[in-house]
Amino acid sequence: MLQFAFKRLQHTLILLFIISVFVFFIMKLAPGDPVTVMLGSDYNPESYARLRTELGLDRSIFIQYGIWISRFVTGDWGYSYISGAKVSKLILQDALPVTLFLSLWSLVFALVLALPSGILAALKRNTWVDYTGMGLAIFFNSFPSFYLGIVLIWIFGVSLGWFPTMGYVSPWSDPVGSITHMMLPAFTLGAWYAGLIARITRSSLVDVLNQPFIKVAKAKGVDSRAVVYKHALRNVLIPVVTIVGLQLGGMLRGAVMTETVFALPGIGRLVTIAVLNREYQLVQASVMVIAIMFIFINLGVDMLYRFLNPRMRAA
Amino acid sequence: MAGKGDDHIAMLANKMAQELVSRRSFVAGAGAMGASVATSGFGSRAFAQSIKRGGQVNIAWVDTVDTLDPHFTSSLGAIKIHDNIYNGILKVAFDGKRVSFVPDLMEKWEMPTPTTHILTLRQGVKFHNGDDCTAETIKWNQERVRDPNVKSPHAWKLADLDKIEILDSHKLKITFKRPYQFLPVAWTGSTGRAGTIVNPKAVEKWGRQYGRNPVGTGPFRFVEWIENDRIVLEKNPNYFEKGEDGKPLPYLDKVTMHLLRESSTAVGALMSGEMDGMDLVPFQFVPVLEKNPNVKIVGGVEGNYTYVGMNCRKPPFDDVALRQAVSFAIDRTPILQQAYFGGAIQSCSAVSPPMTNFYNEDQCTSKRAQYFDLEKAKALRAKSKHQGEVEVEWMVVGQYTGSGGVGPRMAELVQPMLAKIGVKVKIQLYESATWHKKRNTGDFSMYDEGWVADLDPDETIFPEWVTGKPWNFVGFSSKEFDQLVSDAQFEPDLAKRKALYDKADLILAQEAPCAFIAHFKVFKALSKKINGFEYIPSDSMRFHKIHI
Amino acid sequence: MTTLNVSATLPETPADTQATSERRLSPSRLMVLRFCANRGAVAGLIIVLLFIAVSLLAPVIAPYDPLKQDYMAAFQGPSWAHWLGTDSFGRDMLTRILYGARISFVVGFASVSIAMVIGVAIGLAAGYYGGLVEAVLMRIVDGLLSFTPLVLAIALIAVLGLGLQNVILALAATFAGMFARVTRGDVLNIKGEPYVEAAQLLGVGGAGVMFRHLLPNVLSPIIVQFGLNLAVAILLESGLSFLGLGVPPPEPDLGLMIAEGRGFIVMAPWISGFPGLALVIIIVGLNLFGDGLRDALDPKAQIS
Repeated sequence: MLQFAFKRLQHTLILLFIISVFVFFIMKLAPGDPVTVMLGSDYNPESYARLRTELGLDRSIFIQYGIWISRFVTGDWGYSYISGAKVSKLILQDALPVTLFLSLWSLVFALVLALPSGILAALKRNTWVDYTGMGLAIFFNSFPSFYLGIVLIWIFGVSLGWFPTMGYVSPWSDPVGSITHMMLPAFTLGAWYAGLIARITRSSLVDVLNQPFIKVAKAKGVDSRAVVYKHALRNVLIPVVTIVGLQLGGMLRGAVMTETVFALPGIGRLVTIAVLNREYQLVQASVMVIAIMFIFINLGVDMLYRFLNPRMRAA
Repeated sequence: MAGKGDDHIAMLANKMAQELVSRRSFVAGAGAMGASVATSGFGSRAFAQSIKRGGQVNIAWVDTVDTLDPHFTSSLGAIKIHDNIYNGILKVAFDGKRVSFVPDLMEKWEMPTPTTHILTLRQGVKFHNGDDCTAETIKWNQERVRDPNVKSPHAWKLADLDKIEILDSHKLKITFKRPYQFLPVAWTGSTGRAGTIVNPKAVEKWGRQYGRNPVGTGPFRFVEWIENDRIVLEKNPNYFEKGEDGKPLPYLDKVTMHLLRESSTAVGALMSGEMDGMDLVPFQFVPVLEKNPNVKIVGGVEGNYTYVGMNCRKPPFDDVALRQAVSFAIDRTPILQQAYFGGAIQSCSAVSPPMTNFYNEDQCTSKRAQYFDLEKAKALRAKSKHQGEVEVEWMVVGQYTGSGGVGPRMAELVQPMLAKIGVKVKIQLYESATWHKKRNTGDFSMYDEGWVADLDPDETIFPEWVTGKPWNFVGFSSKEFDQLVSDAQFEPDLAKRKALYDKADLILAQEAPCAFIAHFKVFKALSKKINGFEYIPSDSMRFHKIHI
Repeated sequence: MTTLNVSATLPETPADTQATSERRLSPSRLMVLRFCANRGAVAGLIIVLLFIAVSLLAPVIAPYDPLKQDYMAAFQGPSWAHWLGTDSFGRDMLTRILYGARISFVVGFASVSIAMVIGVAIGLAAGYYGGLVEAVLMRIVDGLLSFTPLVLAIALIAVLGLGLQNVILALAATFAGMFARVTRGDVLNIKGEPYVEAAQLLGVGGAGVMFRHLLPNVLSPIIVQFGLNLAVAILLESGLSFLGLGVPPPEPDLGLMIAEGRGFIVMAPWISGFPGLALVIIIVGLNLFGDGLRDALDPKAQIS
């Protein structure tokens, strides 16, 4: 296990290096630069040239990479070219908590909606319960989040006035407000995952219920409810935990569309706007942070999976 | 001091006409132009009781905010916020009919010669950090703007500044190398940006992070800026302007700007009552919000114009006949209806209605310049050296840049119109950084552009159309035109100056580096519970007199 | 698209009734049967085929020209003349949706096909050669897959520029990694099989072994990936267009139509509503179809 972890860590470092190269050079290939954006309609060639020099953008691209990566690993992530804010503040203080909070609530929504409907659908296989549940799952899994967001805003936010339509409220400053503000976005994002998790839950449970040991248990006359609770659900846990873990990793990568539609200041929106503004350092650092989280969550899920599934441990 | 003395440009003109003999001084609050200053302290007492102090407003801010350092900003979304944090040497005032520039941080402005300005500052003005605003501060600010090492993009506005002498703690003399017609605009605290006064100590303390930690003298002080989320301002209890109740402005305790780009979400939040206002309402939402009982729309035609620019340096638009054909082939009426949704008037010139001394009411009806006439367009098209079908690319950008945020819609509307004269337009969408780069380097055939929040013809014509000037992206060049607008910069007589601009404007229309489209209205939405909002047609949004 | 990868390894079991009849049938026959027994999958296929058919026939069956503007007819609600109403330029919504579905399918199929070709080539090479080749290729693939798909697509669009072609390329790059990973995994599983080793001993070259012996045997999971990624590609494309980073106007793109329509959501909700609905139906169809394909093609489904 330890050796496995060590090897994975080594891979992770190489992977992060590759990502850093990717993101750096993709951004440099994009036409335009932060100075173009900074100057906007106040453009004139002299200030353009001067600001480029000032920001070190006229140097060799390899030197720029070297400077950036060496500073990045020591924790100096630089500044936003346009507003002068510290990149680390923008990512870690402003954006990341929002995305974490959104992901958490979406996951809660997803599980609350998905697990019961998945289990119910599996138990009542091929009945209208199954069809309705799975139909809804597919439906929500197929809804573009930006479109669902707009629909929810206008129905539940504006027409009915049940929930706030936009913005983020920190749970530390206003716990109740933070939850009501998260209702529509968390549902929008959660609905997609709920569709997925419900389908996985159903199919894994169906799978397990077809296994010989369940049939044996049933044949032995064990109460069917007990069969489900004692034997089947425990075995469903592995795939569901795995998928939930991976979903979390996916969610933390930032729900760009959901954050855009609901005006949430999360990391997905941060990085998107940063790409469009050619905020090199901000994009690079955000992508690195997202990748690090993603990789480590996957690593965790992997370990958990090995732990839960003895067959895999042996292999 | 009515009439000619109404704005500073006119005053400058007047001065120079009087051959430097006059020693007349220009005192803040005197005459009609100082309306906003004059009310301070002695306003109608009857109203004083009705104004409730306190409370806060939430404004959906859909315009982008780049930095809160006014000497570095280039976005109106930011300038609208600066207006509440900072003061300028001058400010823009509006009496419902005409725009003028009035002293803000100074008490008295004297001009012993056309190039010498003696400024006497207000006493007791304090920055949010407690520092005094003195002659030394003004000097430091002016030097910061023009210092090449600071690299402010607004340095050019003070390029002709010769020297600054401090006469005493609140009095200074600023000398320019030549009379400078643009100065009043440059010195305003909002659109000009070269005259906005920031706190030297804070700039030194924060360095490049100053844009996130602004300190000014304005009615509100900065609290926090959370990226893509909000900017919070709170009341500055020591602000120098007084409200109608005789106590310092502002009335409000707190203003929160919620930063979002999705304007449909902002409109939803406004309709559901979560937001109390919107800093910019896209045209298509105006009819809906006008019908909403809780919302009022504020806005009017501002100092702007939009056009379809044609690159004069490259074929096919190197041919003047083809450009003219385009200018006559575009039917502006459907554009005003379908792109601006009625929120604009037709434009036939760079001079817009708020430039009252220079605007010609009949600019479009007289048929002097550009107008829609398909037959004429076809005739011109036949004269073009590029015969057969011409294919051109029109670059559009999705965000609120270019022609008031309607670029793609305008392009969609114009595309079939130009097909009728054998110009096949391919609409190509670019994201904003690429669009700006292509525009700045002249790498395009056709594009839509708009110049906004301009209050003087020089500002709206000179850098945009004179040969080799920075914003002349289409590469227009006409010696006669250059001469006319350069002369206008120094022409002291108002009537003569107007005549020069009229002539130059006509050349612009006839040479057709662009097809003029519209002067558009800039709309803001406010909840009906908000009172006291002062509308100024330079896209400003000051909160200091707002009360709930 | 980790989510899809996992769902591919944790698939649903087809209806149990088939178990007995399966023994005597050829594998391809079996797949078809299994697919047809899955009602959802068939429904999905019908939806998808229907949309493909009408969008291909759009020039024939569409009642209007998708680009023809008619200011007098703008903002009309559904009527006999315009079944789904008209948009802000007076263009017929039904026509534009038919053409819009066409763009969606073109983007979906083209981007996923390109991704498949590139990804499979990388996966085959990595799996077959192993060693340094594998290490380098797979690290690059891992790098690509660590990006948020939409963010990667936006960054690539920033480089390539907007427009149909570039959207296809950006999405292809976003999906290629997934194909590479799946292919490599399966190649590793069958590399040690006798017939592969025999071919190598007989002196068949690298390319020959890869394309003649390895590829046919790893095809199923690749096709499954293809089916599942179609829906995701179309979703991403509409998202890009919604953000103003996709297909330029006046093209009748569904995402663009929703984006344009949200400005009139109070006055004329159908302008964004119908394209949105069309998009949902297409994605539902593709999801059902993709799931069915996975169940039918992935025999390992039952073992794990």
